[in-house]
Amino acid sequence: MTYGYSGKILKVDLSTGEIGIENLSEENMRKYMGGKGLVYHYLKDSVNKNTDPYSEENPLYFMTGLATGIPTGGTSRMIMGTKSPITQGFGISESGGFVGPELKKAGWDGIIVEGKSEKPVYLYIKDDKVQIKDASHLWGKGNGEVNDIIKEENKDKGIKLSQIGQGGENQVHYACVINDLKHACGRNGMGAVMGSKKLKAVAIKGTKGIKFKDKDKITEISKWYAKYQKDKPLSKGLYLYGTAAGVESLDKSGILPTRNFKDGSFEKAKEISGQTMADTILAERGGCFACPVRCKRVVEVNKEDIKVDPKFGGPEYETIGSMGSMCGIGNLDVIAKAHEMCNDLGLDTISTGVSISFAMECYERDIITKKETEGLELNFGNEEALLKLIKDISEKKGLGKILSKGVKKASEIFGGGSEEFAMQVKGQELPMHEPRGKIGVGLGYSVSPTGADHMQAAHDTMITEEGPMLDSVKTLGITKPADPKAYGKDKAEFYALNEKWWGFLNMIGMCDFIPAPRGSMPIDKFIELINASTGWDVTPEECMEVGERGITAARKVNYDLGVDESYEELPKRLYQPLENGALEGVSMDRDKFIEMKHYYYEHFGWDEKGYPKEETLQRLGL
Amino acid sequence: MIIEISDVFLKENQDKSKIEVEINEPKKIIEVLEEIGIENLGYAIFYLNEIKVDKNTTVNNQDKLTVLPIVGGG
Repeated sequence: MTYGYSGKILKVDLSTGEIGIENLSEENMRKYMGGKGLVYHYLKDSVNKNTDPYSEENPLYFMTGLATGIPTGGTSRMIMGTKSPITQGFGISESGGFVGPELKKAGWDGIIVEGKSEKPVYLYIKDDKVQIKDASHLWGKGNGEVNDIIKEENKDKGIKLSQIGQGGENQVHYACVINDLKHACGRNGMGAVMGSKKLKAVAIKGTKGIKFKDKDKITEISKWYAKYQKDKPLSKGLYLYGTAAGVESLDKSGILPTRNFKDGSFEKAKEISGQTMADTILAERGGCFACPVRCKRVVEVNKEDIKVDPKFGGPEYETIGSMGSMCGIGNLDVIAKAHEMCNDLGLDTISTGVSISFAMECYERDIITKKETEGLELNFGNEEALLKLIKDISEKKGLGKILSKGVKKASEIFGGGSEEFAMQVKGQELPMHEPRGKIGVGLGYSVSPTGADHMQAAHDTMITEEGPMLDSVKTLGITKPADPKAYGKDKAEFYALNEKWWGFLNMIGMCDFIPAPRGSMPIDKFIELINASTGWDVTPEECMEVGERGITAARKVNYDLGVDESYEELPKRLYQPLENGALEGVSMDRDKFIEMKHYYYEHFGWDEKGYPKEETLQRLGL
Repeated sequence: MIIEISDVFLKENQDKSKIEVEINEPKKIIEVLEEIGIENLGYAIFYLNEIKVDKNTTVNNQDKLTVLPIVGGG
């Protein structure tokens, strides 16, 4: 008997139509605890250096974690994995929402999708009943319409859905998977791989529920947390203003990515902030499965010239940055429209916005002209151009065809020195966090197995002094604060320890906004919750080791696939000075950065080229 | 001095996010804020006349202080 997970993974081969079960042992679940760890467990022997991510040999995973489905909040994560068409390496992308918990309620810890269908299909799962259904009538349609049709034809409005839009169908490299229209497995091209398999959607209905070892304890902690978090600043900020709560402070600190990371301050920052959103287009505060924090935004615009449907939720900070300050756009209505379009078409808002921002800079520098833009005045701040290019990218039309490949490929096509400001690592566009003011975030962008990624560790700005933030993580062995602009051995260790904890949260299927340090739940209480669910005796030390195992496992897969240290270069622009804001004139120091990265390797027991040493692999059971 | 405080730090009975206070002598930011009943300052960042400072910075009557929640990404 297992508690907190079922030990069953659904296996579907779209080439043959076979449906089966893969059993997951307690030993492996304890070793990996879900998510990224399980993706490693299955992916490592399934792909090699020559596997085309769009071929039938590349599997696609929908995984949950041990925490997924515990009714406390933050326990909503679904973790997708594949060989990424963006990085050609270990691909992972996570999402909140409801799909993960629904999958577990249906009795499955995950889904392995193999092969490739000849015609469009969707997967329908109702507990043990699993069907591959025809989706020919859905192909070419947007996520909003398809969501309605699938619910209608299965006569169940409660179905939870993972979907791809036209972006995934057309294999835009950074096409994403949209969950219940509002949540995204945004990164690493999961939607493109799903589209290559002609899998339009996964529709899930779970009625079995999840068995917990100590249900009373879970209820007690859940009730306690719902009340406890209400007046805690970290939760309250997310509730009141969403993930965009920090736009103004980032701007004042000179670290709001603006105009393709040329600038650190945006003159219209206040107009695109979470506070302004709350005062203008916010229709309601939404949330994920069982979560009392409710950080999600639901926005509505109903003006003569622009309408935004609330069924697609609302823009997160990442979207506000990538479509707003990065493109020089200070109009929340337009940003909300861009968000709606991306969710309907199934495009990652970060990569889409950064790609358009890159094209705007190329246009302003005359690297591309109206010939390439087909007459479009592609200056920063052009709202119509932003919305037109989103559509063109999804259809791979005109300039959109080049931008659909991402900025790395686009810079190779455009030339003119544009690679210096192509803001990507391993082919993946930078999220909306400025490494020149947060050196640890820069380290994360560089060493992340998935390319530039902001969700690898707590950001530098969180634990800068003695106080409650530092106190909240002492149980993890993090005993000293760190200066956001510092390099060196201490900083590398600070980052590595934080990364192990976040790595663990990402594996277990837990939102980073609930447990400390980013959230208000004390770490000991969170671990108590996991033990109440499983009946295990997990300790903070074990959590850190699981996190470390996930980080090293992902690195091993990447190196085996040829994605090694040479893919860890940061964009050249980061070694050049910011052109405005509080950090005007500040740049990163490459020598110090590389030295810090090697301290980081050392901390993890990797060699000077970043490959895990044999004794490290043995210690972690890899 | 003028203090702008994010709603995140206001209690239910504190409805003003912009406060004007008179200080008779230079004081540390943390002292001024504690005197007017603002708590949880370990989760705040401070901008004095638009420049980022720490909680022990001394302020005067003619200053403008902005108190915003810590940002951590995500």
